[in-house]
This record gives sequence, structure tokens and C-alpha cells, in this order.
Amino acid sequence: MKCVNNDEINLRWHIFYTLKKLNNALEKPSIPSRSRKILKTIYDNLKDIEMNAIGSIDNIANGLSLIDKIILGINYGAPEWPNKLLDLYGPPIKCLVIPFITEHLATSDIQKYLPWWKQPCECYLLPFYAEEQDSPLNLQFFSTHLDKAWTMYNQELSDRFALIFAPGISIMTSNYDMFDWKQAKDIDWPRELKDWIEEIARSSRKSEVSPKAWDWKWDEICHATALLLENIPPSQIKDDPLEIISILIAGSIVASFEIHKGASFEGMASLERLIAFACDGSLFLSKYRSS
Amino acid sequence: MTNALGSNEIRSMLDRGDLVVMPLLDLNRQIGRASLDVRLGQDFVLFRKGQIPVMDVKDAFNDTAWVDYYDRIRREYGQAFILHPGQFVLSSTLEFLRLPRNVMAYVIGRSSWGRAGLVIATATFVDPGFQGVITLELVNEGEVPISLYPGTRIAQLVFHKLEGEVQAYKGKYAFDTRATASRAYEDEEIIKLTRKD
Repeated sequence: MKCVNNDEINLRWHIFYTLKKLNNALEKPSIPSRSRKILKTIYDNLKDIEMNAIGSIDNIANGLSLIDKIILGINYGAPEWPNKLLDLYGPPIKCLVIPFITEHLATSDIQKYLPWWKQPCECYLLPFYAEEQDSPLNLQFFSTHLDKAWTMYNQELSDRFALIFAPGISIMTSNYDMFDWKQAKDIDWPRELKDWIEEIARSSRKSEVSPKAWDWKWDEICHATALLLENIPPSQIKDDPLEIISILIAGSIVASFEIHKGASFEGMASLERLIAFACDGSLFLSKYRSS
Repeated sequence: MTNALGSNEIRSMLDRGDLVVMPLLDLNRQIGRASLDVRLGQDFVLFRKGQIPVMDVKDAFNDTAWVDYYDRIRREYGQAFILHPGQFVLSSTLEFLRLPRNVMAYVIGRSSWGRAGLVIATATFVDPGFQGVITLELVNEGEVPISLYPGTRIAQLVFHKLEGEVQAYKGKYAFDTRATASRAYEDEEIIKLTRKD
């Protein structure tokens, strides 16, 4: 009988328990298909492992620790909103935001730890930190993840979504200098918002990010803000679906305005639900029109 | 209350923004001579039949929250929800509605679905000034399962004008954006009626 050292025994236990966790997770009907595919890939890579053929035990142990976090994150559940935004505006590669992992990675990166790693398709995994909110109002988080995913895909720095969401992020974070509100005050805002936007414009400096720095659809954004102020979810303008980005920017502006006015938490929760409904309605309408 | 409003009056209410229907996928197909079709939403509320001994409103004040009685599932565009014979589920309209404060509506099932065995609503009255999605109580009274696709025109609203405006509805189901399970336990008389001492 071949004697094995303690490290290898520990590794065998680690693999055994990891396979057990994978089996349990794969039996859960609540795991969505995208996450299930990742679990299945991990399972297929671990189930027939040849202990004699594996490389550095430390390296593999590190790989298994990373896999533990991925399984934990998938088991816990993927947040709805960042994943929805990545599906809509992310790169043409499957992306999955999950908790517990601490850095952005591609599933192919696991090969650094497990040299025999094979996968049918690539997937980017992005971390959902404990302090983040799964909300259609979390524009800063969306922009960070979208830019990171595009940076991974193009292998060059992307900050396009930081710009696209700049009006919303500026107003949500009260960082008014990151967008040119002096110019933006002349946009055709609903009457109820005009004074407040002018107040913001007075207290901010001129920014390089003008309302023309990106092709924002200001008619859509103003239409959506007007409807949200009336507690109506803005899914469309006339017969056309509103762009999700316009709804989200309008949502962040109205939410900030309501916070500024001292709205109740219940009122804010209702507003958040309206924004979510508006996005779903717009997506449904888009699919209906294109099918 | 006047007679039911015709298509021209419904169109006028929509054009003026007095009646809001969002999203409105295809007005020409949805508007009838005296009705407006509404579509099936994407969320469904199902009873956990295997673990409900009895649905008792007083449990809401004890250790069992009423949310324990339900499961929620969501169907994406193009995915069917299968409603089995005798099964009861809640869903909602795809559309968020705002009625004028001088108009009420009745929800009526479309006969095409009635002929398939589907009963749409048991609580059919929509208050003047109501704002939100309308929860639909779906029962398959037929003998074979029915596939239900979100976005299907499943019910119709018949509008009636009131003489004068009333206060907008601000009840417990106002501003709902998805099917809402019963909140009968919030009714004031339930607290009185279930109190022992």
C-alpha cells in the first residue's frame, strides 16, 4: 500500500467534502441554470481527479478554497439587479455576480490552481460585497461591474458605464461636481424638480461631463422622472419602450429628490418597486415588439 | 353610476392621461367595444398545500406569518406556467393601472379562456383612483392542465363612470407591483373577532 502524507490526506478530505457540497447544490431546484452550469463544470473537473497526476498540493488547496467560495456564493443566491444589468449591457460572455468571492475572475482562471481544469464555456464571476445593495438604485455598483466585465473582455481599461451612469451617481452620492448640473438645469425637467436641480447647479462647479458628453436620451429621462413623481412606473414613451438606462437614471434622480424631501422609508420602498416594475415592463415590451 | 364606457371614452381617458396602463403592448388589440383587455403578469403565488393544516387569519398574529403559506415563482418571457385542474394561484395583470377618481372597473375573464376552464377573478371590483397591478385569482375549473404565458390577454376591464369624484383608493393593495397574497388579517374586525379575552 502506498503511504500518503498528511497534506494529501487533507486534500482528499477537501475534495470529498467539495464534491458533497456540489451534489447538494446541484439537487436544489432553486439554483438557476447559469449557476448550475458552473457547478456542473466544477463537479466534472473534480469527480475523476487522479491524485497521482495532480500538481502542487498547496496550489490545489488554494484552488479548492476558491471553489468553496463559488459554491457558497451560488448556494446563497445571486443578486437580481447586477446580474440583470450585466445580461443587458455586459460583454458577450456569461457573467455572474455572487457573494463571498472577493475578486473578479474568469472561470478559466481556476486553471492556475487546477492544471487539468477544462470547461465548456467561459464565465466571468464578479463579487457582491456584503455592504452592497441588490437594488435598481445601486448605479455605482452597476457601473463598476459593467466596466470591470468589459475591461476583462477587451483586456483594456473601460470606464464607459461610469460615464453613462454619471448623472445618477452624481446625484445619489451628492457628488455634484462629477456632472455638469449648471448645464443640465436647462433640460426640460418636470416642474416639481426644477427648483431642486437649480439648487444643485448653484452648489456645484462646472464639470467636464456635460449633458452632451454621452448620448443620453433626456426626453426619456424627463418623461420617466415625471411619471415616477406621480407614482407611475415609466415603461414606455408613447408606443416605444424606455431604455433601461433612462429609467435607472430617472429613478435615481427621483429617489434622491424624495430623500431630500424626507420621504418615508415605506415611500422609498414603493418607489424602488415602481422602478423595478418599469424596467421589467420595458423589457417585456421590447421583447414583444421584436418577436 | 353610468353605463359602461365605450371604446372612444376609454381611448380619450388614455390620451388625456386620466387612465394609465403601463406597459401597453398593443392598444388596438386590447381595446374592445366597451372594454380594455389586460394581460397576464410574470409572477405567481402558489399555496404550499403540503404544509398548511388550515389557513387561519389569527395565525398572522401568532407564530405563523401568512407568508409561510405561499411560494412565489416567476416566469420569464415565453415561459409557460402550468395550471392544473382544480389548482388555485394568484397572479396579476402585466399592466400597472391608474384609474381616474371618478371611474371604477370590473375585471371579467375573457370568454376564450373561460371556455378552456379558466376562472380569472373572484374579487372583480377595482376602486376609483386605484393605482397598481390588479391581482388575479386564477382557478382551472377544467379537466386538463392549461399553459398560461405571461403577456397573454387574459381578462378585460369594463369601466363605469361615477357621478363625481371620490378619494383615491389608498387601501392595503394600493401601489402593488406584483400579485399580492391575502392581507385579510389586517382587517380591523379580525383583531376583535379572534381575540379570546
